[in-house]
Amino acid sequence: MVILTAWMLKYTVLGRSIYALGGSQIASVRVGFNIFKTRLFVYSFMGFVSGFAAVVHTALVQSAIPNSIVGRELDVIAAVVLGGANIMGGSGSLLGTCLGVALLAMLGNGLTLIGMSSYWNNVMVGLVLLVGVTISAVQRNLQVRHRVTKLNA
Amino acid sequence: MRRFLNYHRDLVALTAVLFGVAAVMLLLSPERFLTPNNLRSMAFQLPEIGILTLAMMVAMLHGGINLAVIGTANLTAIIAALVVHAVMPASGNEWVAAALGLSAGLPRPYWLAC
Repeated sequence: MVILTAWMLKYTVLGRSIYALGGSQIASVRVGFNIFKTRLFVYSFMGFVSGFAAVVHTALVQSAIPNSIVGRELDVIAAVVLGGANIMGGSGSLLGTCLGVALLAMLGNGLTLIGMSSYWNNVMVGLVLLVGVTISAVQRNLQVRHRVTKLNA
Repeated sequence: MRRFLNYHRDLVALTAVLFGVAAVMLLLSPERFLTPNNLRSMAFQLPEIGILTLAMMVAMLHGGINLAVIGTANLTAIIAALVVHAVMPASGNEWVAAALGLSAGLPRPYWLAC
């Protein structure tokens, strides 16, 4: 499934149109992408994938509970942002996202093993999220400044 | 190779952080971190959050965000369980669930201003 998504994002018109829409909506309309169709695909795809996640979860805990994974949104977003994806859209890769997930899982597990109370888990997730976003923002600023000085020179 | 590393600098940094965290965990609890049991429990937690992250990433790439993944997943789990209970031969039940999720995701763009 991951490989399929990576292929879709990288080598099909649909995938590239998702990136384009994230980069600049107005520009992608001018180029001629159909925003409505792209959005329709993106959100249907989300529904499809979360349906799969639901089955996996049900299989793992062997029961279907209405509020079992409520509150995991933050973990999910943290993993995406940690993986180098831009929150405003337009950039990010699947490999980075996989690494982000692995990092978060390892962190949560390791903290429990060290003997920290599980209440601190969320604090650590927030901390990691903050640090990751800060680093990526600073890097982007530096890159832009570098490009500007290059242009001026 | 050099160009690849330069281009994917954030990926390289992320891998380094990953190994750093692993090293710190190993130092702090050497007798428990690398045991098969722990690795197994980590492998148990990974898939669901990984799949949800896959969904969230595609939405973030196109510039939006969808906090309802969790809700969709929960709803789908319940309905899939009901369907499986009602129709006992359970083969193909993951496709039922995926179709349900798809139908839950479909109306969303209509709500967004396009």
